[in-house]
Amino acid sequence: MCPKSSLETKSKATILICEDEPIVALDLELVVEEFGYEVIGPFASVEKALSAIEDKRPDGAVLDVNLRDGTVFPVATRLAEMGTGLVFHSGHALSEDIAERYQNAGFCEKPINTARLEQELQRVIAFEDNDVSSKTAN
Amino acid sequence: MKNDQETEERAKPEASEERLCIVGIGASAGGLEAVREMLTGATPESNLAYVVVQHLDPNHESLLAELLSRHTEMNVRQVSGGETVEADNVYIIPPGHGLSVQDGCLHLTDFEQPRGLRRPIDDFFESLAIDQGRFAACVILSGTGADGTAGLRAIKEHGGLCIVQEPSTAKYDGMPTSAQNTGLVDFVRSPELIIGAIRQFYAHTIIDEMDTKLARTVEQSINDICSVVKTTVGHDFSGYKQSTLVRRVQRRIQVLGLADASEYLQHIKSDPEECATLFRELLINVTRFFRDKEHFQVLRERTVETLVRGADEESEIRVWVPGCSSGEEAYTIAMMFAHEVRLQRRAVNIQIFATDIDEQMLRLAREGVYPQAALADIPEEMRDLYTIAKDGKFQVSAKIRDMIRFSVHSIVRDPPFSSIDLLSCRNLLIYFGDKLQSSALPIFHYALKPGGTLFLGPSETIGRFDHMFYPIDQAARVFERNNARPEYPLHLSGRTRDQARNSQRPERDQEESTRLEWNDASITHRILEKYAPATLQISAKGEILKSTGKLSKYLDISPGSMERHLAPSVARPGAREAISAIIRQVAKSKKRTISRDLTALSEFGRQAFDLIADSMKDGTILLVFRERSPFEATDDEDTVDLEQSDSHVQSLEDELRNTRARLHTTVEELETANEELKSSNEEMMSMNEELQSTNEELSTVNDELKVKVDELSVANADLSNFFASTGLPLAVVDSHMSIRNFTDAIQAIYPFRKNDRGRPLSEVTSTLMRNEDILDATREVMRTGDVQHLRVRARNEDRTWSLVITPYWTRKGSVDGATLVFSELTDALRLEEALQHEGERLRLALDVAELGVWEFDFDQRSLKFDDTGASFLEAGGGDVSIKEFLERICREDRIKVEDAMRMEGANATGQIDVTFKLVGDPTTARSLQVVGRRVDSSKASRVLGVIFDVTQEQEAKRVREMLLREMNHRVKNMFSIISGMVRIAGRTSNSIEDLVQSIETRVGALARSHDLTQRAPSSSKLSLNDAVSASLEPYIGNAEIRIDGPNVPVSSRELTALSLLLHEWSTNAAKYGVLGPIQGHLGVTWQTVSNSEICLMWNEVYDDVVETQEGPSGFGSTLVKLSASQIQGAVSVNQEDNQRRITLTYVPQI
Repeated sequence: MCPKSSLETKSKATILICEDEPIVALDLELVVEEFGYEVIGPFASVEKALSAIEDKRPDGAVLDVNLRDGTVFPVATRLAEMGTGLVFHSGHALSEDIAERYQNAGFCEKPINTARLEQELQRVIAFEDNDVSSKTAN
Repeated sequence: MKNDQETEERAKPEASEERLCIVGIGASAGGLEAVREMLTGATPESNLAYVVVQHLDPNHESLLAELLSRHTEMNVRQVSGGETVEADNVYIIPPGHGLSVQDGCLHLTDFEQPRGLRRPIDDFFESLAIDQGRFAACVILSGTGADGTAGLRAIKEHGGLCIVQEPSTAKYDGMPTSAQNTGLVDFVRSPELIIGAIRQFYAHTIIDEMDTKLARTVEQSINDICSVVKTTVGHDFSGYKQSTLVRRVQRRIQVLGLADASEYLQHIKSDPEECATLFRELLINVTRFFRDKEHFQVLRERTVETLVRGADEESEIRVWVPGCSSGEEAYTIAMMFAHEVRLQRRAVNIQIFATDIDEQMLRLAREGVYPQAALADIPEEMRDLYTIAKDGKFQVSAKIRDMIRFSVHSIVRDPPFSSIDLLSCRNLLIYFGDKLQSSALPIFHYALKPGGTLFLGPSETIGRFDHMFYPIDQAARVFERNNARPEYPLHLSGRTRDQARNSQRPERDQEESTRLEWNDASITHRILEKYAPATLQISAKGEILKSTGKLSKYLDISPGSMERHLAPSVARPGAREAISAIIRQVAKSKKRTISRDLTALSEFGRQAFDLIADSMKDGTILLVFRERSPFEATDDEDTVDLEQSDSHVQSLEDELRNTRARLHTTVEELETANEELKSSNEEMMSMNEELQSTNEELSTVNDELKVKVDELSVANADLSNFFASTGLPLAVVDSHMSIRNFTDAIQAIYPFRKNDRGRPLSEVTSTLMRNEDILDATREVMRTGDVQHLRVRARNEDRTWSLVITPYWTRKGSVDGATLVFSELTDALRLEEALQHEGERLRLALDVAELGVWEFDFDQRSLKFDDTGASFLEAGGGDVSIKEFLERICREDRIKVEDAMRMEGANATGQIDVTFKLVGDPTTARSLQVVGRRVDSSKASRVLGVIFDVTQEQEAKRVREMLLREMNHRVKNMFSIISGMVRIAGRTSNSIEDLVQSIETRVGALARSHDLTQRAPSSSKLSLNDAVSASLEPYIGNAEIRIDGPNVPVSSRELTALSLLLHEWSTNAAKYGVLGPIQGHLGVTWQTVSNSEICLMWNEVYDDVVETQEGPSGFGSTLVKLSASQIQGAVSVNQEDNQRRITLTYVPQI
């Protein structure tokens, strides 16, 4: 609930949110904004999310697994390819093979634990940044 | 000869095997018992075969074979002719026939003799002896008469074994005793020991190798044995035919059960008895009256007739029979001569010398008593003339006996007789070796007068001495001596001094010195006969042992039978006193004594003489009568004197003559009467014989019947015990349906009493219903001979029986009545009924529960399902192999089921419980559960169990799990929503109170919408109407509310959003609108517009125009916006003075 100001100094990082439950989506949006990120979305469907990321790369993403028109994995895969740090946000524990597929992805169980969400987001963004920078260096 | 060769050939192939020995068994009265006892001890797997010859009644069927077969493991059968004798079989003579054996084959013969004179045992034994030789054995058992005795001789002569039942154990000892008296018997045993003796005897013989080995050892020591016999008995057998000697010595070894010849040599040296036995054994030969009848016929025609015709009053016909044995041959010749003399009506002096070396045999010969059986050999015309019946035996008449002089004499050792007209030497030379034979024939040549006749046995020849004899009839072996001068045979083998010590005739010792010089015995003989004084040799007691010279002047006896007389008692007056006195004196003093001037008186005259008594070394005394003066005949004057006597005397003389004449007539009459009586007696005797044999036969029949009756009694006792003890109700009826027999147990059905036997069955009341049916069925059985089965019930219906009616077969194979056997079924039927009930109940239970039953057989690896089970599996009924069964199961469950089934087989957990799905579409395929338990029985182990359909249960379970998952998801979602809601509200609220209230009402709205989902029946979907009504429920009564629209289904996701929307609207209306401070009414309506869009209108109509107060567009409007976006709807608000209209358009998900 406490607004974070640690990131004020930097240019705001962008976070994609996929969530089909409007109240939860609004809540997430507000919380993530409070963390000091710029929010893309929230999107309730895979379709919309995919079209949103066609031309831009978010720095991070908070993804509900089950969306209105199916699972979020096509989006997640696309994001992973782009080097976006992923945090899955679900009512259920993720199966082993998903964890395997998206190594280094974060996971937060519903309902939202803001502290943990923030921490995970920070971790995955930092990791991806390093990764990206190392890639560009090459 | 031919037979012998065949026997040899037959024996060869089986040389290594055991040679069959045939045991002939002769029995008569009392024989059944003896044969039975004897054969009881016989075990099969021997090399012995038995042939039983029993005197049987020719008119009566014999049970002998049947009776004997019960007492022995061997095959017993009555001979029908043509059987080849095989080991371990017992052959029984059939009634009315004789039996013979040829080439090991039994043949039936017809009897030639009338009943009473038949000798089947002799006949069989004789053929057995010829056919089997030393592989024949004969056993003579209980019986009267003497049948078998002659046969035994034959067996013995051919080297066979002779056994006789111990007479004291025999019921009738006639036959055994007669046989034993021949002195030829090897064993005398009680019946049960006989077989053992035979075994012992043949122990050597049965294995050919052993046999020849034994023969070899005997050959090696035969000379030693002969010398022992020569030393002990005084006869040298070394010149006898070796094969005969070896065979007979071998027999002795076998009889004694010794190992070899050297052992026998030891035995014979130490035992003089054995020496005597062997001596006898070596001398065995078989002789019969008129043996080889046709040969005797030739002799009679060619010689006897001629001799008798040519004889004159003066001369004497001299006959010599050497080797006479028991005398039959000599008597035969004597009878022939006597008969011939009788036929020619002449008086001829005939002197027959019969000699043998065996004193014992000679004694028998002198007596001339023979078994009745031998009578058959004598031609009928001579029987009555020359024999006298004597208590089952007969004796040769005195007239014949007087013709013959029997004496001990050895052809080869002692000087021969001379001037012989006929020399009959039959079956003696065959026992001699070549050397002895060639020395015997010259002796015969010497003994015979020129032109004299030599009569030999059928298998004897004159060999190379054909210059001495030429044949009169070659076939009959009748030869005539040539006219050559007789040459005295100088090679007679005398005895040495050593051998003489054992001599039984010590008188030869004294004459030894003389004889050494006077080699020509005839001279000595002549001297003794013509010139020597009359001399007697007597024993110390006075018995006359020997005599020579003309003794009739001194003694009153007939010659030939001197030995039996005491010298003093036969001496004539005048000599008698002197003889007895001198014997006494000499016996005491042992000195030569003389008594002078004695006169012996006889009816012919007087003789003066001196009597010299000389004591000999061996204790005998020689009495020499030395004539002192010529014999004084009684004076003729005396006769004259008598004639001169007076007429009184004359008249007395006349009277005497008359009397004598009368007496003579009377005597003649008496003799005639006597003759008649004699012939009557003969007839009686033969009748007696016949009766006796009939009696024997009857006693055999009686024995047989007795045994049969004993057996029947046992069978009867068995049967009555069975009847008394069995619990089986049984009744036997005869062909007239009368009760013949019944068991005690039948009382339950028929109340029979003991005296009901013979009553018709129909008269007896039974406890059964439909008694008539039973009677009908019984009649039917008797008519057709087929077995009938009936089920009968007692009248009070509490008992049921199964009745089997079988025909009663007689031994002849006809039906004579029926047997009724009841077996009680009451309990069985009850049990059956109970089982049926049980089964029905079980079936019902299975049907109701829709349980299928299955059974798994481990060994067959197959499953068996009942109809229900089969229908579950969608397989045909019956057996399904385990493979087929597994193929019906879907892939995922297959291994699980297979394991369950297999585990069953290996470990005995005993339980099986497995659920599986059948192959096919997973959503529609049946699920089945199989429960079973192992059942082990002695025969096989199997699993029994049930199978049932669990598709519905499985489906319910699946749905339940899905619902739970759904619920869980929804709850989690709800938490997320609430959590989000709290955070959003927290940002907009001004106070804690405000926050709490705003959250509370919205959570309440969510809860109501949740209630709504739970309240709705599972089958139907929630409708839009439901959602609206539920939201407005708290405000009913606040204002007029109209709810209207078509039925539109609402999904759960939509419901939450709609509920929140409606909640916001209604709280707003309650706060600011018609549900609250403003008067008016509310209309909530919806309709489907194009593209299946739903258009929901919230229309607040104010009664008055009011200045509406716009609520804060805070948290509430955010929620509305979010909720609408969730169902992808759009919300528009139209606020007017008199109404407020909110429109929501959305596309339902469903």
